[in-house]
Amino acid sequence: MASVSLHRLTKTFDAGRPALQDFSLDVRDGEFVVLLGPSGCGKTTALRCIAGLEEPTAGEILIGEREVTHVPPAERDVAMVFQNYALYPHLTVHENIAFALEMRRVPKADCARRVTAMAARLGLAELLDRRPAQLSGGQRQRVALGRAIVRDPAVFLFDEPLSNLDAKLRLELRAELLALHRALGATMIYVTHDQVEAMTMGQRIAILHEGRLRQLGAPGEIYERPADVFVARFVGSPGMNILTGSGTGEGGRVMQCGSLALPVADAAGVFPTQLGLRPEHVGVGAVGEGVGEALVEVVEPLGSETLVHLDAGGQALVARLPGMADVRVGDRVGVRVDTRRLHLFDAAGVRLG
Amino acid sequence: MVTVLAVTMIAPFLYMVSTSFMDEFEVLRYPPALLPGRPLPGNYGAALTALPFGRFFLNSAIFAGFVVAGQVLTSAMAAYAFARLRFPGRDRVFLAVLSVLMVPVIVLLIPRFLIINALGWVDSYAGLISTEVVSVWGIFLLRQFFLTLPRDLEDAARLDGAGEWTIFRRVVLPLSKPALATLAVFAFVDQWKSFLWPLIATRSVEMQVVEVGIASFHGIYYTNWPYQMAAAVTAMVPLVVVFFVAQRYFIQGIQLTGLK
Repeated sequence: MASVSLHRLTKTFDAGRPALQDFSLDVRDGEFVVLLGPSGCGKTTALRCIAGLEEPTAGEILIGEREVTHVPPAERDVAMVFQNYALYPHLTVHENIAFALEMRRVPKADCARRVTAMAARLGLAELLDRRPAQLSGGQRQRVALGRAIVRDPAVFLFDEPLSNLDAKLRLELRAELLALHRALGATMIYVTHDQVEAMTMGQRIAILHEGRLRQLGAPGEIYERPADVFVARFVGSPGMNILTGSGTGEGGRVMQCGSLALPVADAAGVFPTQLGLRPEHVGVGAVGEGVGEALVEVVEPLGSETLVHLDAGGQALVARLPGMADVRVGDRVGVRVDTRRLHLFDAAGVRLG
Repeated sequence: MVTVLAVTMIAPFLYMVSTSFMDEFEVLRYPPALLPGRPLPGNYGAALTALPFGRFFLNSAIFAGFVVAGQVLTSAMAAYAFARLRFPGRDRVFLAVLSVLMVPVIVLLIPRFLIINALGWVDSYAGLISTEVVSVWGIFLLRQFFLTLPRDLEDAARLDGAGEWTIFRRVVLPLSKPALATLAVFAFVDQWKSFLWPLIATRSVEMQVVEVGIASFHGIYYTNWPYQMAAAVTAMVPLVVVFFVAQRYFIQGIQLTGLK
């Protein structure tokens, strides 16, 4: 087991914008950290740098106390699980799991014992003689997991391991991975673009965008206090509503955003130009109620809740209403807002207060 | 349309088989006979013993066999380097290698002969084989195939602790069996029907390959057509067998490279 430290990591590929820029992160020993971001944000590049599959252009990587920036992957004591499993198609499950042990010259008998034990643990005992092509997606990912665990590495790296699986299996393996993390107490770094996975699995989440770290924190912290507009929009399903407007009224204490007039607190003397509002903090009522009126554009009944897309004088926002709400497309409604839950951002999108 | 094409392609072969059973004067009759009046299967025995064809077949097999092994080995290693290893100027070197494809084979005959002559290898297996063991087409074919292999597999192997050579031998080669087979099949066919180079590189009858042997039925004043055709039909048998056994590899080779 070991901690992982990235210090001002930068990776530039042949041409263009750096895939990763000045990225620093300290993963504690035994921690489960998720790197979250949209595709192309640099999260996979960061993971591949930790694995040693990419060499950073600048910065350094420490695993435990050891500086490994230019150490080949095999000598880093890390294991990686790939999105498309990357099982050797010409080898059986047994041979796939044993490959790494064989490379490390583990004695044959010892190797067979460890593979068998691993297979039993992951429910693969019956499948040891099959080839990857004869396995289902879930079984393949279990084999890939087994291949990583059997080596007993200091750090586990996961590159979107569940995104090729169907929703039900994803849920199942998510729980399994968490159980595994508890059982092994291992350091795990997990890359995903799926914010549900990130929220449910990560002890801490690092959000990346365009190669830069935007926010690092516990899931609750990221949801409740997003550092900027990008994070606010990206986390949550649907993400946070962002309204733009200008101050009016006495001392600018009211912001006019389209047809909505929102009272805002003074945030350290800087006046916000963007307001954030989670969909669950928006409600609808009769015209005249709340902070202004809006037109219902789309209604998405999900059973346990209903998402209502509103147009408030050119400002788009979504309201999350409990149950099957009685709202129709084309209705004019009053917009109710929990004003204590307003998030304030400046013109550059950085959080105020 | 396809039928017409097929018939035009296959007719000369059928005529070859037909001729191989004819009387040697029947061949020259006018109007020409399409089928032998009385088939003479004895032509085969006579033709194959008129010259040491056993030796010729052995020579052809040794020549083609070694070239196939050599081409598969050298092409695989070069192709892996061009497809996967990172070294300065890699793509430029590859383009330079590829440009050799544009040089007509015939232009290289004299330089190749001068090389083996300087080495004292004329009229030996070494001379016959050595200049054939590298195939640019083979390098190109395998490089194209290696590029289609998922990189993640190599990355996984790298993390598992495999070095470049182990990745090549334990992961890339086993996954490339279809492409390797394609190359082997093409190389075998190419060498088996090769005529000009073996003719130039060898002198003695003992070193001749089948194709050259067949040609020696052409005398200065007289050609025994039925014997020559009988020998040609016999020489074709291995190719036909290879073709039927390995048909899908031919198709794959053409699909992978758009060449041949």
